[in-house]
Amino acid sequence: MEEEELVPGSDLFQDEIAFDQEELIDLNPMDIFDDDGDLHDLVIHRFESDQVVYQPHRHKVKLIGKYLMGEILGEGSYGKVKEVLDTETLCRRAVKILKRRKLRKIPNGEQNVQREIQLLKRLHHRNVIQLKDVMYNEEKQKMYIIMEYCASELQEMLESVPSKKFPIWQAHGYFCQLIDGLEYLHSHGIVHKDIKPGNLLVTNDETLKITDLGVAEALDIFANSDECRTSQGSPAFQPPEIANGLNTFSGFKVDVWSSGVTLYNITTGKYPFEGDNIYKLFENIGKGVYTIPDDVSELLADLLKGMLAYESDVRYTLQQIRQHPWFIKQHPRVLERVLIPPRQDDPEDILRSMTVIGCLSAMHYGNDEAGQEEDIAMVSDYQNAISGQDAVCANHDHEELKGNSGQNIVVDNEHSQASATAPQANGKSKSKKNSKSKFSSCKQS
Amino acid sequence: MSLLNCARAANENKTSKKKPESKPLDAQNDKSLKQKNSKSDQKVSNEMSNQVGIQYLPICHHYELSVVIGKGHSGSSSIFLAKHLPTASLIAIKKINVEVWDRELSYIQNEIILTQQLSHPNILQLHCSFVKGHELWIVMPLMAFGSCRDLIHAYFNSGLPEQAILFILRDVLLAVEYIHQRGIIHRGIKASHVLISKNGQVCLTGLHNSYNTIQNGKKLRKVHDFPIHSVDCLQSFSPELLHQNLAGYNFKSDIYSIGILICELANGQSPFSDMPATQMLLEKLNGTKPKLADSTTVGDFIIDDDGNDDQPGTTQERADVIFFKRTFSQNLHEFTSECLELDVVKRPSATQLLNHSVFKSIKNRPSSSLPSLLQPVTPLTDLAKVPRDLSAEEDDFTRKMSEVSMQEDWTF
Repeated sequence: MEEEELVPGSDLFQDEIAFDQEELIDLNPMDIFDDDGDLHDLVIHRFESDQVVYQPHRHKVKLIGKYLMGEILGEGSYGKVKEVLDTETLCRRAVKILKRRKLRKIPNGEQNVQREIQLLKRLHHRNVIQLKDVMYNEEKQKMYIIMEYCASELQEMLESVPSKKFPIWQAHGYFCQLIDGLEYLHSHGIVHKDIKPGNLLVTNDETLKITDLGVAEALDIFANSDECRTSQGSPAFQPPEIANGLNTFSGFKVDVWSSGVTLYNITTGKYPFEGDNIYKLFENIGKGVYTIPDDVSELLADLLKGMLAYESDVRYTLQQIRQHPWFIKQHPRVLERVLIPPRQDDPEDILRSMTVIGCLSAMHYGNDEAGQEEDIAMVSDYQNAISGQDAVCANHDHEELKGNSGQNIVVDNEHSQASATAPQANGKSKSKKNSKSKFSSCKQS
Repeated sequence: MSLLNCARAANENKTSKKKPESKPLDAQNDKSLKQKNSKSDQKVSNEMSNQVGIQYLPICHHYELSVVIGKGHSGSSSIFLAKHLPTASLIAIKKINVEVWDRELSYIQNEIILTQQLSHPNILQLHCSFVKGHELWIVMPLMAFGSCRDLIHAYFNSGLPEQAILFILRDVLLAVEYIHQRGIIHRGIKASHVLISKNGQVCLTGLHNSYNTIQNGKKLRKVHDFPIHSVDCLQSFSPELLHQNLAGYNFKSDIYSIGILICELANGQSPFSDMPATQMLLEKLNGTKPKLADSTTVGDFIIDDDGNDDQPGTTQERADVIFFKRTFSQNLHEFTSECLELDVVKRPSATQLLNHSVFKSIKNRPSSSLPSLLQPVTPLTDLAKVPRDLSAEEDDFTRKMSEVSMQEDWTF
């Protein structure tokens, strides 16, 4: 949020001098005005109007290992999620970018990320997000978690329609996949603890993927029960035992409750428990009084009651949910499917096409990409800490392009070292705008 | 274990299909051209009709390996020329070291199971497969001319003659029509997956990349699965497959790959093969349409020629001359362009393409006339002839090695 405040007011200014705050911190501010020494002592920098040039298409070519960076898909509590392209297989991927500086400010931030990586590494299921790669940039103190690409998330789809809910048959399809994924997680002794529409992603072919295992807990393999002590999940999806502050509680039943709230939410567009603040909310959950709207079918109401049972030991197990008539039932496709909405920053892109095209043409043809900065990322495998596996982000202005005749993927250690301190003054405007417009809603994390 | 099972199943298949088939294949090919919907039961592979009654058992000492004649799966499998000892006939054996196989085994297993479910004269059959030690052996008919890629490599550096292309194309389209009817998208059609037998029969292979659109009893109208294990097939992928967006792709993606295949056969090299994968992606997404290189399109290729000036080889110069001189028929140009149509709806299906007027010139000609068009390349028919040179080379090398160690004394 603090980043947003630093954006200069005028659009014109954004394009010419929009420094990313992130870069400003990494750099000595003096470097930026190297070519204009007089400005060094000034606090307020002035620009003549002829210096302000509007350049609409400016794509930064940035490679992290073999991954080419695209645009922002969403923003999570820990950092941005961007689209990337695997330049070897040409497969679309998503990358979660984590900054150590930011992680330190979040309670258990670094621990949670480590745990999520450890957990995801051993999980392989159709309905659980797949970790593909983890890389680390020592110099920038950034971590890159490469994951499967997903087109959207349930939360974003819900928000795209006025009723904020899915037709029953569509909700049923997602719910079945959620239970499949959850059963897999539980069978591996993992309690997710943060099931909600915002953590359920949807791929191009409508496959649901459970994501964000940041607050998940892996039970000890020798543990007798699924007893848990801590929970950091989203308040509105927490069960009474957590709202009432019990010391220990059944982990699996927490996920059943949250799945129940999720099912309630995606079929009615409402929440079973609400409150103006977290205290009111927890008070309401603690009382366990909720109503099911009248238009909810009897079968579904019965399932919801079973999943939202106040006492965790009478609350349904995943097995019971599977055997419930509503779960087994074939629901007729009476209403139109809620489609994945177009990307917010490009409403015409109804197909959610690749966002790396601009970068690709800058990389291979570099025709309208004047005045870009060089950006260097020292990337190494996080686990093995292989040093020297550099990813050089090659941006070339016109002069350089003529010399290099389009061969822009440079992996050159010396080159990268030398230009590591080069001024990084512009070309950030595009991503800044995106982060602004996407900040409030969708996230993929 | 299951691999062994499917090997046994294959064998049972073979024995049950032992009914004699006297019709020559060429007649059948023409027949199937006329009768588009004729069922596969009537079609029996050339190899099978040649070798009626031969049982290929999954017993390793029935087969004597000779030399490596090819590599598969990006180099992780080797294809051997081999002799089936009980009948002294030549066959090909694909050997995969399962221990060093870096991908999921289901990948190769699917190919075996799927190929055994298919029966079409233009799809390469598997005789049997079995596990020997840590190796998987797949016994296949010998395709004596090798793949189209081999042909280009051996002699036709600047492309095959148009008539040969048409014969190959017709058979490939018949195979593709057949698998599309069964809901399968091939996703790996390229010159190295098109094999030619000594009789000129063309077989499609490389089904390990394929995708079955029939899932859970339903036929999918669009597919989103992206084949990440097929870096060597990227050039033949259609733009809609590479897009990986909500639109997905369907069986028409294979038709685009056939367009790329025609370019590869006609030009001697695959379009976009001279650039990095990311640039190929950009070109395809921007709508660049590859073309056949001949006197009518040479203007479009001049830029490329300039780029290649840095490395002028004698073969390259010769190819340039041939590009200038030859002229493909307008029909073939149009055919290629239709295959490479960017609008999936406008792109024709395999069945529609088989009715294209481009095939008029070979309408009543059997595919047995293909070998004569491939001269001077000769098929690999004699085990005694070809391998001797190769094994001799190997012998020479070992002899030289021993001489080297004899001559030089080690001084410490």
